[in-house]
Amino acid sequence: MTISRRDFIKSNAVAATATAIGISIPVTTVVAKDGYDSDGIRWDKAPCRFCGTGCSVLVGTKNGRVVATQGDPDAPVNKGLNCIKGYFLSKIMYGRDRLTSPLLRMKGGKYDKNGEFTPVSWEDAFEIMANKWKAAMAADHQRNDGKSTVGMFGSGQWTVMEGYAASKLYKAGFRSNNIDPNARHCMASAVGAFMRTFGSDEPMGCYDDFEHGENFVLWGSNMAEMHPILWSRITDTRLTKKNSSVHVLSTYQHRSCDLADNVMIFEPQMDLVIGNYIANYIIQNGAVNKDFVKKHVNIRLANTDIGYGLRPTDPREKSAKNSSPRKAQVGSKPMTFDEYKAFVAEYTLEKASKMSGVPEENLLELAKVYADPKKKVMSLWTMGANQHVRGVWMNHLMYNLHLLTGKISEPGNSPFSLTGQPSACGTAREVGTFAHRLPADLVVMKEGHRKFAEKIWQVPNGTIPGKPGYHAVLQNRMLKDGKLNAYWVMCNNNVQAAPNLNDETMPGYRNPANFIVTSDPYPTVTAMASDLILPTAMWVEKEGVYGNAERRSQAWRQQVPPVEGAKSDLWQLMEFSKHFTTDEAWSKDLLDANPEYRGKTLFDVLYANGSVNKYSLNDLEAGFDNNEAFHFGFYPQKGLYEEYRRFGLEGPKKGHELGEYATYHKVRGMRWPVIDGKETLWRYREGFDPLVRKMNPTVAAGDVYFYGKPDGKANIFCCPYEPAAEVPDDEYPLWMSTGRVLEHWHSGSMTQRVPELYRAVPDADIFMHPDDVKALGLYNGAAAKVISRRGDITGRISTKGRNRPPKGLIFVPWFDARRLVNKLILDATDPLSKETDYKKTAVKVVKA
Amino acid sequence: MKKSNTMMFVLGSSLATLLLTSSPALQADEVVSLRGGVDIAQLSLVPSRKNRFKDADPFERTWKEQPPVMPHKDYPVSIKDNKCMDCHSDENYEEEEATQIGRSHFVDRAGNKLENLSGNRFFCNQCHTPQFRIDPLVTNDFSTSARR
Repeated sequence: MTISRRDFIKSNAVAATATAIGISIPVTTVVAKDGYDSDGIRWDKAPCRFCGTGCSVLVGTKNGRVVATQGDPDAPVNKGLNCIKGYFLSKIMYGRDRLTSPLLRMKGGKYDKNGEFTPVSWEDAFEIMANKWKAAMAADHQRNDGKSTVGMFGSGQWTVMEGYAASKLYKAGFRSNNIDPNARHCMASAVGAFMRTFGSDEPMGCYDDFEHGENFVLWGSNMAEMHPILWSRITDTRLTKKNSSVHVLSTYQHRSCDLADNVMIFEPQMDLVIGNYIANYIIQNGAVNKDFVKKHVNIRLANTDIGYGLRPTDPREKSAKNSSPRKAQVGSKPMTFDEYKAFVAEYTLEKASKMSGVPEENLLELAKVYADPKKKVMSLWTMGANQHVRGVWMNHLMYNLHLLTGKISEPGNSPFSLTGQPSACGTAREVGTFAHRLPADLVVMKEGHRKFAEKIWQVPNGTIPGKPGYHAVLQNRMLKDGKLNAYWVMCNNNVQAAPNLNDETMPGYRNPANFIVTSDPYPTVTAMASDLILPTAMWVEKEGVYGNAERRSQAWRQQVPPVEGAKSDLWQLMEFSKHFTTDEAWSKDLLDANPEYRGKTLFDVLYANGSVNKYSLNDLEAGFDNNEAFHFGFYPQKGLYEEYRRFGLEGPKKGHELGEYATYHKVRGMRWPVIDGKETLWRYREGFDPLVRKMNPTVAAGDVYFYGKPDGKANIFCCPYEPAAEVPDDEYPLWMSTGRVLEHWHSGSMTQRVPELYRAVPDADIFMHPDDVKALGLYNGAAAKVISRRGDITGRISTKGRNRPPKGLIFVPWFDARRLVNKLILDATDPLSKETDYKKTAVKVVKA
Repeated sequence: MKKSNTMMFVLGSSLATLLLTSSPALQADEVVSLRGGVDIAQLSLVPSRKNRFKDADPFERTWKEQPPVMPHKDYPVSIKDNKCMDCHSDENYEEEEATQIGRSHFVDRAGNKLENLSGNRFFCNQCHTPQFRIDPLVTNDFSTSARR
């Protein structure tokens, strides 16, 4: 063995990778297909439980247990491949500490806020819970100020039907809009920009762009770890396609840089400068697609100096000109192209390089990719852009580049907002479980939208409140302030996830005025911070639908019975509704005007309404259990889905049409809009999207029509650079960014219980530059304390790991319950989207 | 880079053995979070120092379709250099006594058979990971009759 042979192999490994022999005989390396194999294992499809990629897996079950999983070879998303988390799905349900009984804090046989967790029956659990809800609602009715003190924190990991059932229960049943999903922490900025730019949520492109594309630009995303299967598709394209390139913008070096041709490490918040520079470059170099801009684009100037979404008492809010009212934050005015041109002119190459710290040649190389009309470009982003005090703006700045050049809504030219959670798109966004939303892009603020929802839900006009409820961060503030008193946390771990744990999260959970319920399969830190814990059935212990980042809805059937004692979120929501009559939940006025609703339970009104309970057990697939159907005596998942689907088919906003529920069980998902049974790959372009001609018959063949907006035009939003809410200073000299790691999903409540994943990454390390470490007299592996103005954590320093921050910045993952890094985070949000900036906290590091 | 996969000493004990003898930090009968007994408000404890398996025997898979975990440290993979191929490629695995790469890795998305590693599978560390020599945080009761 010689060095030269190794070198030869190395270089060949890259050069010759994935050169097809040219025989197109499909090689099936996977034995299993749907059905039973020779070992008596039944294989059936389900989407992965983890990220927004939406890989499909085959779940192998035997004797009521998951005994194996594998990548689904028939799934277009992943074609048989999984990432390491996905491969270990089979173990996530079998941590020995699965919860099997409701647990109530009790002392002396009674509920006590400071009592010990004690097993109680489901009946007793719901009774005390219902009493707390009823007391809160009675007080609300008495005050009659339109403010609700009941609330819920939901999830982008709920199934579509669970989110829909929860939304109904709160917005129509309890008449409270205080329901928000954890997707507020991850996708709200993306949603805000989609609505402002296109008038319709979710990407115009799809995953096929990875094969059609050539040039890929990551704006603050680390896809190699966070979307590994999509990264494998980009890798394949990069390694096999001529003229393909990968550009990575990040505040620190990470695994995605391993594939990059152009790595750009920038100073936090300066992505705003880079985005504007590239727009300026496009304009200055005559690369604007003038015909496209003239026909398809309006330009608007966004209001600036909008604050940081902190409490109104914070000096940063008081000094900001447009931090309130809401109208001032979201406001904008029309702008001419010349005005826009003049506005971005100050963002020169020199300035962008100086402010961001990225060398001029790297920025120029990136700008040329966007500007060259012959180059296809796909922009990709997730939390780096969304968890940003100017997240909506940052999303706008990326769309601006694609709109200026017309590189949009066609194969390979695609601004693509990646999603974090498995159904942030499907459940949180499409179902509209946000405090201001209703299904299919409708909002509670518009009377027409409310009326339509009330019609579908068969509840009286005026049932749904017209004012948005409390968003995620505001919920924690209101809990602390005693203005939100009966609170249900379901399918998330918000004590670990929410910002400013010490000052803004825990005080509310432990506020004696409040009763906090957490539904979870495992004893998470959120569960431990609550007053009542409800043991929850998870993933393939129930039937569901998830919607992924490319608008693909994927259904699965219940594969195994739930762990003894555990109930699904859907069961819990529907069963809990039986504990209320309209007389308890609704105001006197509403019932006086609609006496026929008197005396009915919320279950009768919301779920036994002839629509949700329309389908009998005969519609279930033979051979599959469905515990919810067996319990309620009808097929609730189908009924809920079919009722929900009407919002897209009959609602005032077109573009969210879904297929029949039964179809989703037969196919590997479909991408909406589903028109005449067919999915849509690229939205807004005639020839790909059948809605274009339906909305405007005059659109020319192959042309674009952004039908989300009344005039069919998308908006370029002109937004400047503005500083972060908190920047390093003498006392706290370092930036801290947080995020995920490949091996763990979110807060680690599932993956830390899988031995192989725990052994891969057991602890959240403090990733730091060696020079910064040396300056502290510390070393790789040393114990250290990270301190911000709000809290501290300890951990071990890593200077040689997968993440290599520049000087002046550290990275700490948030999966590790033993190191609650969100104790350190400021609860500053993008004022437009109310999404927290988890990427820019000022900290110091000391020896532990 | 050292290359012998023969078991050398105690580090070679397989994960399966470790599982049987392990005493996880958390017991099932008490309701505690992954923080153990440490209150949410309390400062986190400094994590213990942990060592990785270095040159252990290959770990047995739990079921057939599970990607093998790595019985050694991880090596860098980049567009310029895939160090894993030094030992695991078809050309080298015998000489290096390394595990041969599965045939599934020589197929592209369209199902075409390839001469070389598929671009889809280029970043080995997306599915294969080294392991620290530690007990599980929580006992996992997964069991299988599926073929290994």
